[in-house]
Amino acid sequence: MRSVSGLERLINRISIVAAWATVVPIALFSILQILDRKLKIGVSSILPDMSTSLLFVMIFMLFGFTYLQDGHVRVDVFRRHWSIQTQAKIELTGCLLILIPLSGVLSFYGWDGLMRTTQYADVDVWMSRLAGVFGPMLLGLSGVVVIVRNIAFLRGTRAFAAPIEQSGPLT
Amino acid sequence: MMVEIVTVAMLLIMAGGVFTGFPVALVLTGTGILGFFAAAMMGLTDFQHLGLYYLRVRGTLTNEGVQFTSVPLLILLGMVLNGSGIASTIFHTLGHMLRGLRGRYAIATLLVGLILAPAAGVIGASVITVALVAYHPMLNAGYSARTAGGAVAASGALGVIFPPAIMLFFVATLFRLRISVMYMSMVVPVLLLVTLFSLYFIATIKAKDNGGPINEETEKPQYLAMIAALLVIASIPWSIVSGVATLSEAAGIGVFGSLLLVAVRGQISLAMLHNAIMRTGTLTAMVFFIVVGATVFSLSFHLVGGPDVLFNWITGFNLNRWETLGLLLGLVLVLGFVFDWMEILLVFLPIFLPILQQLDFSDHVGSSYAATVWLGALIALTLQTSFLTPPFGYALFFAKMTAPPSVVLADIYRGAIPLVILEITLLILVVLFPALVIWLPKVSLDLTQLSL
Repeated sequence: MRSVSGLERLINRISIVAAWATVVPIALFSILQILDRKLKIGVSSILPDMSTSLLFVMIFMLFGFTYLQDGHVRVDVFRRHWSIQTQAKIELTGCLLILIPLSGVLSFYGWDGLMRTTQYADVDVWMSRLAGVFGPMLLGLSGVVVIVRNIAFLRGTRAFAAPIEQSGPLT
Repeated sequence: MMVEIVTVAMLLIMAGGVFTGFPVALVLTGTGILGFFAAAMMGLTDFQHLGLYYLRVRGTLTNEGVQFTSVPLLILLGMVLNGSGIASTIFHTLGHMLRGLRGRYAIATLLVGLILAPAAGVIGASVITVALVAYHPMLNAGYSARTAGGAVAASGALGVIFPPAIMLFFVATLFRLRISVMYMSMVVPVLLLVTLFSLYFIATIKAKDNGGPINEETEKPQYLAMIAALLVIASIPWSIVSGVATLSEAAGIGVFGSLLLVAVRGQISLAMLHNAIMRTGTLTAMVFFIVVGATVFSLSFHLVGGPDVLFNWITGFNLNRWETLGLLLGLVLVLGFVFDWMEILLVFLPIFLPILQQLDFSDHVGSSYAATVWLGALIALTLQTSFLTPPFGYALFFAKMTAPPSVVLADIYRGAIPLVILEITLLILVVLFPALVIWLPKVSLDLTQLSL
């Protein structure tokens, strides 16, 4: 279980770096674009591409972190009334049937895209192609964390279900 | 027959999966991939074409024409303002401004929801922002739990349809409208709604509650801070409408304005910034994971011919255009009980869009483009109504989650029902008088080329 916590810490650290490295430049570039129209610095042609790629990096790199924070939208009309055991079983099944295969598919095609990227490609292309591989891998690893924790919870060796640690219903 | 079976199976699997409580985006993606396999087995596509889905997802997320980069910026603006405690300042300042007026805190609650619209990226954020500052002053002032709960839920729901709310960006994208037109079209209906709600609060609080005297202020009014916050938020629609900036650039201006405001108030800190940036990152990932899921689901649904099946079913009822519009708005209302606006706008409406586009209301509204603006506004208003409608409205649950123990869900239901009646009244007014939506964009924007 300690290695799972270590894995979660790794995902969290990478995601924090990814969030700062994307949100701040996107905000700066939006202002720079307006200034460029007045000052003619000559960066207007690069910035929209760069911002779009940064957004792609942010989205892909934070899918997994958001899942671990239980930040993805759920319809909890019925869920809120179910026991934690039932919720943990659903989460486990969903991870095994959907999240892990999806992570595999996205990583596979992301890797394919990365391999097709030439050395002449722009920085923004490289950024998004790399995120296209590592983001889905982080999502898959987040799924692994949730799977292991929920198995432990259902076997009675852990007090809390995942992705969110609480003793009451996961709402 | 096979097409019908696969269509129904996809919808049932999606609905079943969503109701398990597993993340909606993952359910959509999983159902979409299952649909792809079904299409491949039906000979409609080849298994090797799965890679095209990936390219489509990447193409959707990196489409510069849609200005998706404005989404994290608008969220960041909301998070910075929320983190600075400006909501509380605005609430108490408005409460002070309206002193002497019955129901002043209920009205201040509504106005805070409008002013902090950018924080309403998702309905939960909007309601919670308002609830945290408004419940206690209202209850301390003697308002009933029903009135306080209704005001909080209504205020949170208002934020999602007032410029520069993110939901309007997605409505505009769906209907291929200029964002400035979408923003301007919602101003009059929303202000009318706030007026109706305010009049209701003034009338009912006077008659049924012990609305005053108000307790001592817990926070001194700060008019300058409130005006500054208003200017920051208003700068976004203003920059777009006046042509100074694109949506993304305008959102950037808003972010820097909010940072400046927070710095001047002496409330900027690394912890606050870190929290705002991480919340921005996770909310953006959440929104766009649904975009990914919706893209995959829609591709498969189109591949198996699902939209044609639904189209034939609905047109098979032989309804006239008004009945069809009523049916579709009713469907949106019901879907809004269960789904957030993201799923409805990104998954369901693209399916119904061909039917909506076939309904020609240009004779009623004035022109084809004006009719599209009107339809977009009706969808936005219907969605907002659904968030407030008992027993499932999203805003009601969030209003309960953040309520003191003395406010139970039944109180919030009772408080919301009269407000929903007012909302439906407004919807009927907008249907009957499209000028409520069309007038402001017409007089404020140069849209001669669009025949508005």
